[in-house]
Amino acid sequence: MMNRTAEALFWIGRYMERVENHTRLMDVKYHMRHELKGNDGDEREYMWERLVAAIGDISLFKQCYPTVKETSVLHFLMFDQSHNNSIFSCIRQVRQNLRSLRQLLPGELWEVANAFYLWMGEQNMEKVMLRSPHSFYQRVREWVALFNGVADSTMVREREWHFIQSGKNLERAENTLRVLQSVYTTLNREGSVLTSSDIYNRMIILLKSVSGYEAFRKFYADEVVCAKVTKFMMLNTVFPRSVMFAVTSLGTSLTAIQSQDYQFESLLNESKAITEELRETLTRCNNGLSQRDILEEIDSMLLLCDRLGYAISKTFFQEEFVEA
Amino acid sequence: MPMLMKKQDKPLFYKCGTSLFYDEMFDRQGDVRTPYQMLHQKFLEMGTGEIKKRNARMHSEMVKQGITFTLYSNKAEEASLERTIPFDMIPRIISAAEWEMVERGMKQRVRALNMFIHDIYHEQNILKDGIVPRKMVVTNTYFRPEMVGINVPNNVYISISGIDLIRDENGEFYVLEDNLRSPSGLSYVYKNRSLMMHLLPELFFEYQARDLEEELNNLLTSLRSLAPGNKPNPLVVLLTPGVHNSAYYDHTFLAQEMGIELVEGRDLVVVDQKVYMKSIEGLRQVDVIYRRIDDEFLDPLAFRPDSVLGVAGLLNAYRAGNVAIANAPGTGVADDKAIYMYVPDMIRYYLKEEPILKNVPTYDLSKPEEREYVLAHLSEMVVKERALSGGYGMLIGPSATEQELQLFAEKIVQAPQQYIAQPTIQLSCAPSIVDGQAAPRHLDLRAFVFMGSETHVIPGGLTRVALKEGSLVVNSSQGGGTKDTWVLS
Repeated sequence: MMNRTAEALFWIGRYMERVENHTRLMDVKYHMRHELKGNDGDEREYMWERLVAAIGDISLFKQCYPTVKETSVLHFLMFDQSHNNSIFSCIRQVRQNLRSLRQLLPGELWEVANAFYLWMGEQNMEKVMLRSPHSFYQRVREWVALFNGVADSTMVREREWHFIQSGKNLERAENTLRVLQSVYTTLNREGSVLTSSDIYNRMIILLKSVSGYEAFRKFYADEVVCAKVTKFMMLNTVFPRSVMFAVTSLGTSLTAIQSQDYQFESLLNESKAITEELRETLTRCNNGLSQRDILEEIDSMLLLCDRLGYAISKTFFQEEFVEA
Repeated sequence: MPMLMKKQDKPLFYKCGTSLFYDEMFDRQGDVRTPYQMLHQKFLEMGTGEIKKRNARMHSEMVKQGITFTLYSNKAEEASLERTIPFDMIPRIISAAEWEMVERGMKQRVRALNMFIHDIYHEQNILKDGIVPRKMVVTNTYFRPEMVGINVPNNVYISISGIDLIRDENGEFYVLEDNLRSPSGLSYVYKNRSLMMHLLPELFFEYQARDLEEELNNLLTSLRSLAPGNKPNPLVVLLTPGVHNSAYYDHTFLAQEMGIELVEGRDLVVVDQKVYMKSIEGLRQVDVIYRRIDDEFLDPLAFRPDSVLGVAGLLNAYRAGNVAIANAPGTGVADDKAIYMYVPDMIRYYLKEEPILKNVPTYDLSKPEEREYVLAHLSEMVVKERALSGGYGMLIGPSATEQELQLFAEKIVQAPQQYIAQPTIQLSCAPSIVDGQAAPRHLDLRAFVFMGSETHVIPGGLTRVALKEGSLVVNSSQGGGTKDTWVLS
């Protein structure tokens, strides 16, 4: 397999997962915003800022938009073509990558991605606001589910599949960590003025933003408290969006690639080491850490994810260089 | 079609504001009440076209989510139909001050009712002191002699109650009915809220209505606290009669939201006075049963032998203290429509307080003079069969035919103790969307109270609206719809 191919597949997995995560996050935040404290302008601005921050590009946003308000934030996150992580840009990337790999992948998968892209092109802020953002988010999630479903039922489980899956799982781990980071940051900032019911609501938002609300109940019933929610989102071994689950799946995919392709050995050695480190850090979080310490661990895990992503793309690049 | 053109020109609320009844949105002069002003403006701006569009979208959303109920009917094709309960997009708004009073009143009422039930199954002081006639209690269909002398966990009999409130022509709140057995409709409170949040997010956020999320957690906490021996991680199940029950949606929603097991009678078994759930890992002991089936179906050994919905031996396990049941068996003794008359007295008797919420005046038909009066004024009365609920077995005098009046008069004479009568209260009304126009429709409010170590009232509750013009019957089984209820903070 060519490195370029591997890289393209890896990013298909990442971008598609990113679309889903961002959409979920926006949907939940959008519909929960009434629960966030404060009615005055400053507070509202702060709330939108946090949404951008949770998705990760606050400085870029501030460069491009003079004011922080609902429509500018949503436009930035959904349609801005110059913003690499907008939903539109992510889908465009997926389509572009798939297009260059059409011969390798099931035809149906290309068709779904293409139709998704074309549909997205017809949408705009005006339409979204008119129909209520929720139904837009819902459609986007359905498209992603369709894509994942087609991939699941048509792709042979060879390297192509595993590259997509590793991209998806790395993205997933990072996303869950990022939403946790965002919540812990604000808890540290406003912790003292929040009532227990504010915190409860934040925890529900947190769980819903990773579709973990119903699953959480099965494990912790009515104990909707910060420590339990964090534990669930980080360490649960069977919830597909927990950091632990994603990192473990990532490890499995990397091993599968190794067993099928000797070419990627160096990729594996470095990234498997990082994956192990991630798992160790996670396990540390099990032992009753303080809010501040947890935040530190989350930060360090996000750095590890970064390094992992970097290690993987570096491999693609280097191996290609060696081959040539 | 000139007529049609003309109709479309009319403003959305042209039919409203002139009602003889208390209108939730408009005052006597036809002006919009303060809490409703923003909402009124918003709906005017949307116009009928947009409202119709949003309505259609909401309906398809409800069908997709399976928010449906079934009607009990003799006709097979009718009975098999799953319907969506009509949802009206104009929410009902309750001001903070109004709600504060209602909330206090509800807590007071449920506390007294709970003490009454405890008293009835223990010392029976209230009967000895002659406050409530003994006959009325012991002849009550829902009185369970099996419960006498049994101590229930934390002394909580009514973990979940649904109290129906109405407003008279002056806007004053009255309690119409207490539902203390297994009140349904809670899921609609939550679904209505999520529909509104998605349908009219802008408006909803402007209002900052009080949030509901935490209340389900409170319910779960109080259910768990019932577990025998304060077990730290109790197995809580919701016992449903099954998929054919009209409130099945309610059951699945609550089980899912609280993460508890949804079981039918056949999934449970009693061994050595302990209740177990049959699972693929073997039998798992059940600690708390949130039951949504009536007392008489709970246990074929104790109650109706022909019941296939319940669990044989359940009551023995309960009496041995090995399992908790919520609500406790026998709570129906306090929600009987004749006992209702005595609730204000109970409040004074047990709590030494004056009732905060009023009862609707009620005639006791077993008293000859009251019976005579009711029979003479039958066309102005609402007559209810004591032991029935859900709008079944009811006579609404003002809208009944001669024949129906005749029939009910005969029934009353034959068995007066089975009926109660109330003067027809003109329920308050609120604008509701009918064919793209707002029209005044009557409504009531089912408020939900959760009792545990603390008592919680869900802010708002289920507003039920009679969508037929002039109708006073709000039950979903009788063609009623619902509205989201916003309590302002």
